[in-house]
Amino acid sequence: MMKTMKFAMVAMMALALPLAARAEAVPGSPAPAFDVKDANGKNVKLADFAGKWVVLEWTNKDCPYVKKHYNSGNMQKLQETYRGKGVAWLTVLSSAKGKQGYLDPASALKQTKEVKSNATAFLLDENGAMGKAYGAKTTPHMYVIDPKGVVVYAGAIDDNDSSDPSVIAKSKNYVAMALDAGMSTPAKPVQTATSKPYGCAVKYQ
Amino acid sequence: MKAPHVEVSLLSADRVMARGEKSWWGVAFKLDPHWHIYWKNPGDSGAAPKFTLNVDGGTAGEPQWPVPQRLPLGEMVNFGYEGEVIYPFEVMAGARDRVKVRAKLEWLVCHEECVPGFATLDLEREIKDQKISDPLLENAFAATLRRVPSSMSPGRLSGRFLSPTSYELTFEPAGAMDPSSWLVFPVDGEKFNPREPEKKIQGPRITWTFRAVAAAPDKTPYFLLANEQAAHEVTLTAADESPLALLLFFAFLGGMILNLMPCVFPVLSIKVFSLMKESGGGRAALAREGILYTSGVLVTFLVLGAVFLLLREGGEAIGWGFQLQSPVVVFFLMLLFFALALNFLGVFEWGTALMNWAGMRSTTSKGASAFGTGVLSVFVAAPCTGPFMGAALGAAATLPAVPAMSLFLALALGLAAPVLALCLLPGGLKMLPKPGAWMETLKEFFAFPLFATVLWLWWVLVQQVGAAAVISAGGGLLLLAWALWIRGQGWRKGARVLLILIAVLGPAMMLRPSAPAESGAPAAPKTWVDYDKSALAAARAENRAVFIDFTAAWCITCQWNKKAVLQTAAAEELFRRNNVLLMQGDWTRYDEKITKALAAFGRASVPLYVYYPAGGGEPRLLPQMLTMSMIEELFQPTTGGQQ
Repeated sequence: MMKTMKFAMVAMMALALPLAARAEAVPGSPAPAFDVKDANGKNVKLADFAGKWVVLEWTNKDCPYVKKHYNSGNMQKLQETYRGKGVAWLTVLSSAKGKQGYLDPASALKQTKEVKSNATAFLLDENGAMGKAYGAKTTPHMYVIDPKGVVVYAGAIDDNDSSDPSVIAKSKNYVAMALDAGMSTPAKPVQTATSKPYGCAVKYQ
Repeated sequence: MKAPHVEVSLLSADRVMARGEKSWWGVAFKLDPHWHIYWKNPGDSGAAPKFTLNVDGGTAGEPQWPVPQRLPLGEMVNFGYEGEVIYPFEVMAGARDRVKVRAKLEWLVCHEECVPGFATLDLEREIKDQKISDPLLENAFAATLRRVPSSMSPGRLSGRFLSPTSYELTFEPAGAMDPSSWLVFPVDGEKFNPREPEKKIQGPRITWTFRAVAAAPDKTPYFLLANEQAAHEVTLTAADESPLALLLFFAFLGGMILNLMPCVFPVLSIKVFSLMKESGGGRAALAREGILYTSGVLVTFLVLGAVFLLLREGGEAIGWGFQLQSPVVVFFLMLLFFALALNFLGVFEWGTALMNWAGMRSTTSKGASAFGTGVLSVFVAAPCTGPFMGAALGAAATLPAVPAMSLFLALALGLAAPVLALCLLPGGLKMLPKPGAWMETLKEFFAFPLFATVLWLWWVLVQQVGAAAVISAGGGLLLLAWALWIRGQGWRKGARVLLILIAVLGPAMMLRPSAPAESGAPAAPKTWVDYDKSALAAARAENRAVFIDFTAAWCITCQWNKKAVLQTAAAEELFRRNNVLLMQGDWTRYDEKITKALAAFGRASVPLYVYYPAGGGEPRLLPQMLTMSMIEELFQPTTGGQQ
């Protein structure tokens, strides 16, 4: 009985959320549209990636948890692996001007080179509109969007909220798990569709 | 140790530990102004500190998390601490001369930006026969431990999802505490948004509405409730969240089982008896009888339910069986059963409408009689709570009016179902024996269960109003018998005068209250002490096991459990051997303290059996029908208290 109820609730949520005023990116609901300039000054829209798997990664270069995944090479490796399988990987920076981690376009380009990022694009969400539309709270906060534009995962990058990079090897990477399940043929359901994101707060205005 | 923006140290409340005893240790963080460190649920961002404790020469418990602050951060909220905080943990000293604790720590401190830190701290203490506490740390530890939550429920709680994204938690603090002083913190950060929930205060109740995710996996405990003085971590029991359908099913099942309990038996015997006579009238008459009986049960439950809800609205704390907490009601029930018994024995015949409703077949109004039996069943069922009823009644006490009433009605339907089935099913008629001369004998025999019921009600009255009830209630019976005899002599007017006399004088006698808990009360032998919250807390503080029997004289189930299990030599020996503090909460008369204590366990009925294992841990609730093996099981190492 509990199972049926849970199913009903999830179903209701899928129906109700797109209508809600404060729609956030919740698994089962369509991903909020965005139109943001990247570090090259090019406009990037969600619609550009119709038919593709998309990963959104919130970042802040000065956040210890972002450093955990970049200094260890974990993030770059994920980006490389899944871009190789046709996934669009968008790194999003929502730090406001004057706040920790803020980068202007030039320094953003420099930063991506420095850390050897393999992301498709580095989006500069200076006013935080995209971050708030998704309900991004921490860095790194991760989202996985399927080719139909539906959010299939939202939450932490993995199951270990330590800032110590040595735990990465033993951690369950939720993003990789969601992508592997969704992209397999036939597609498997995503087992963990939400988790509590960990890390530093997104430095909104 | 000094780290960026924070000073970390490992402390022990004792300079010298006592061998084999526990003492409090802790990891203390002293933060730069405006910097904060996190609670176990850090809120929208951040991370809780991690502790890995290695103890040489003893054992350590889990680190505890004192009540945090809500730290707003733009639109986000974190849970944590500013200034100074100690995360305390208990260390048990071993048999050797020293205990050494190595704490490997990882933490995150934030203020706009976040700085993680790592450290390994060591601290050693001597172990001797006598402990020496550290006077410098005494206050700091005492203050910290006051903010560490207990697992006891601080009142009546219920919660439910209003929608997939919003959760309503209703809390009524025990002991009529002001609800507005309480704060709530969600322990489960995946299910509940950390933002301060919307709150509404209604009389003794406070309702918080959280933004929440119904689809997130279940984790307990859900919440930390805290005010200036107290902190409690609460896990909602299954009953608090059971979907209504399940509760309705429980109520129905509970109602059905109620038919088998000793309370309803005398009335049921009357019913079955009248059905046998009725069976001559064919199926249609039998069906009519069954339906009328059912409506009698339903209407009575409706009325009782309405009274219950009205009293609840008025702020009264009441529970199942509350009608039997009134000596006047008990008195009249006693008279009624006495009259019925006399009638069965043939002392007098029914003739007036006054007595018709009591359930006997009469020439004037059969319908009223079937209906009346229904009414009566409900009244006498009150003293019994059977299996399944506890959860349903407990929920009815907190649910809004409509679902609460539907629970009452489900209980009613369950109670009426067996008789109704007997009347309606095609085979039902055949199941009844053929009427005959033997019925007279059986009728006379049935008088004796009724006399037994009278005796029991009499005893209840003595519990309620004191020894005076022996004479006043007995006098009532005498006058009643006399009135019936006079009536038999044909002097109806005289009988009526006497009956009025009883009706007026009886309640007046019953209303005289007596001092509570007189010496003569046989309910509590000295091995059982009266329920007392502070005594309970004291026993818990010294890690002593406690067994509480919430009972009432009018609760037959309770009396049965007492005689058959709890107050047997074997059980008392077992309790004594395990140094269990035995407490008894007597609910025979209305008692607000007991009502509140029951409510804290989500109950509104007796019996309720609560066992607190030795050495701390969650209280366990035992079933309503006890067996000796359930008591034995409490003390078996695998399932018992020694954890």
